[in-house]
Amino acid sequence: MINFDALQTALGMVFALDTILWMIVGIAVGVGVGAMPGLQSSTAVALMLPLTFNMEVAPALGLLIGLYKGSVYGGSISAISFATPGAPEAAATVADGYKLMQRGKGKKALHMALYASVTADFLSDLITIFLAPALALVALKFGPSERAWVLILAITLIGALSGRRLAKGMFSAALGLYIGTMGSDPIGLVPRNTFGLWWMRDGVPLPPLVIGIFAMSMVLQELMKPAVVAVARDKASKLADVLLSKSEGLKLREYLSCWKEMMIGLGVGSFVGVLPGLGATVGAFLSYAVAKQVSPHKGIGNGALEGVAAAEAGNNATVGPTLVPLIAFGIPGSATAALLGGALILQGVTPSPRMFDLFPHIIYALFIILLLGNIANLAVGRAFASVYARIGEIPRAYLVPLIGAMAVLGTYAYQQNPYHIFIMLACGLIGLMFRYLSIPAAPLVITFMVAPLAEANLRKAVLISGGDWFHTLFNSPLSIGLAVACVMSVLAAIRFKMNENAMITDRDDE
Amino acid sequence: MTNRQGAYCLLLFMVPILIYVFSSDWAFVPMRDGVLIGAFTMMYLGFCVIFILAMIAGPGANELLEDIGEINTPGLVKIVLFLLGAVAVTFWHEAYGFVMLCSLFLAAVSWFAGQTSPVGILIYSLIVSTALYLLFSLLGFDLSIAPGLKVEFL
Repeated sequence: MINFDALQTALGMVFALDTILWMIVGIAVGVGVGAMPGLQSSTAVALMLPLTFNMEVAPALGLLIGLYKGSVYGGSISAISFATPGAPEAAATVADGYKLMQRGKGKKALHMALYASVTADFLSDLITIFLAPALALVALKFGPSERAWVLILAITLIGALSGRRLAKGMFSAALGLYIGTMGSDPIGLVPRNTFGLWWMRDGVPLPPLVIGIFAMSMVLQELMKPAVVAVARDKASKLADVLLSKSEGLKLREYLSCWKEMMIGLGVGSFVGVLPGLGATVGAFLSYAVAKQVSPHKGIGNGALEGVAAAEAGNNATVGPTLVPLIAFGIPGSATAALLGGALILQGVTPSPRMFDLFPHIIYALFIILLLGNIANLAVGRAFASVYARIGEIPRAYLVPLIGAMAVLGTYAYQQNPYHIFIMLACGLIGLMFRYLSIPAAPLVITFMVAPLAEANLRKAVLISGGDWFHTLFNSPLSIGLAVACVMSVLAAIRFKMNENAMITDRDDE
Repeated sequence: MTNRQGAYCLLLFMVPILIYVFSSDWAFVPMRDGVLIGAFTMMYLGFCVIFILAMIAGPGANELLEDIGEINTPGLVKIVLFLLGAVAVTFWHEAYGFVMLCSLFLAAVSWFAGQTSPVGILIYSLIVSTALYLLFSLLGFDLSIAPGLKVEFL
């Protein structure tokens, strides 16, 4: 049922000048960040998170969701222009996008990327709006035992979906769980795992952790590089010339001819977005692969607009659905969703199915911002594409110190506690180690948020059942079903890994 | 360096944490619900070790880690200086002024990052530190330009 009072409040919150302005700022910065090779949406959201500490909830959501949407689309600009994806999720766009660029159809490719991104993003947001409340209704029927199993299932899925990097993904998840136990235990509030430091008694706060893992690690890695690498100025200028020229843009007929690929992107991206730990990169590649299989005659991979449409629809369609597990179960679907969850917690709103009862106006505001963000993304992307094309010219020598200073100031801005800088820098060093050892950072952030919830629910369930662990864990058919799902996901991961190893061995033998 | 060697490095990273937790006086204290305070901490650390061992023994253990070759001594020195600068800005900005201290920090980092023109470094660091000051002050954070010098925003 729609709560019309809450809807009216939400409309007032979203259509306020500051919310609209911060959303536009978020998208403008997000597209720029996405267009800049090396910077990702999670880095941008982590860096901008401190700006939201003193904001109202709607402008904060506008800024962060704008950043997220903008940066996922923005990656296509450098992917098409220089064959250098601005972010991993745009890598699937390179094959067709860059070939179109070389054939002088760069403007068409860039417009197709924008329209496919916005179309799939908008439709996937509608799916989110219908799916999240339905799942939240189911989640509300869960007791502590079922909630604990759902959280365990999310953790096993993160591992199962890590693909080739199963052990690394699971190590990252386990380390996130360990860091999540720092501070005090969630039931008795007894200090533990504080390394004897008084300022660790409140545990590791989310902002220093994410700023360290995503932004600081990037700065430290850039400082390690002996030479500063920048995109060649002539290439960027050439791209700007293409965009400013009167060459033919995308025709409506061409856009409509890619409907099948956009729908594939929508379906695959939405499905991938809902699963915890996968994210936009998998959405883009999977959608691209399915589109190639379904339409072999369209020449996807050889410079086809359909390839650009499939990849871009696939990555942007994950943006909305990644919030579904966050809202319905309190489990972030991706690192960026974890950051959005963190922003909500900082605003005093804990993401959970109870949000629909306690803060319906914020849920509505979130949904409206998701939809409205697409219009802003379209407008900003269309009007300023030529400006973003020049972003590759910004020397790293200017960018790295700015990100470093923002990370330091942003960490301090959260609670003005100078000791948090130590946490942020330690997380930065862990992030740097992850970068060099090719360990994914997203599982760490997701499980870090899930760890206290899982422990609290499990121990509450044990207390309710009078200390009987077996009865705690398997007290209902749903608990047993979820436990089976956990075992299945682990077995599927192991089976997948074994098959993959067998294939590699066969190939080596040949 | 291969994945296996990287996993050994991770194991080395985990050793002090394992020693700290397993030798602590809190980890084995039972709570009211019968669970040890450190039960979950120790379990998660156990998972960490298991997955490191999986990396060591796993099929991709001999794969090369490409980026690790870029680690070099001057880079490590820059990182240490950066970390010290970040701590100095955080702890001393009230005493010496945010804009003053942040400008120095930015100048040093932009030099580390490859900017060589002194005038460029000066202009860049002053503009960025002032912009950050204005942005965060407008958002309601208490920062100063120099010791005792602040601009009040409505």
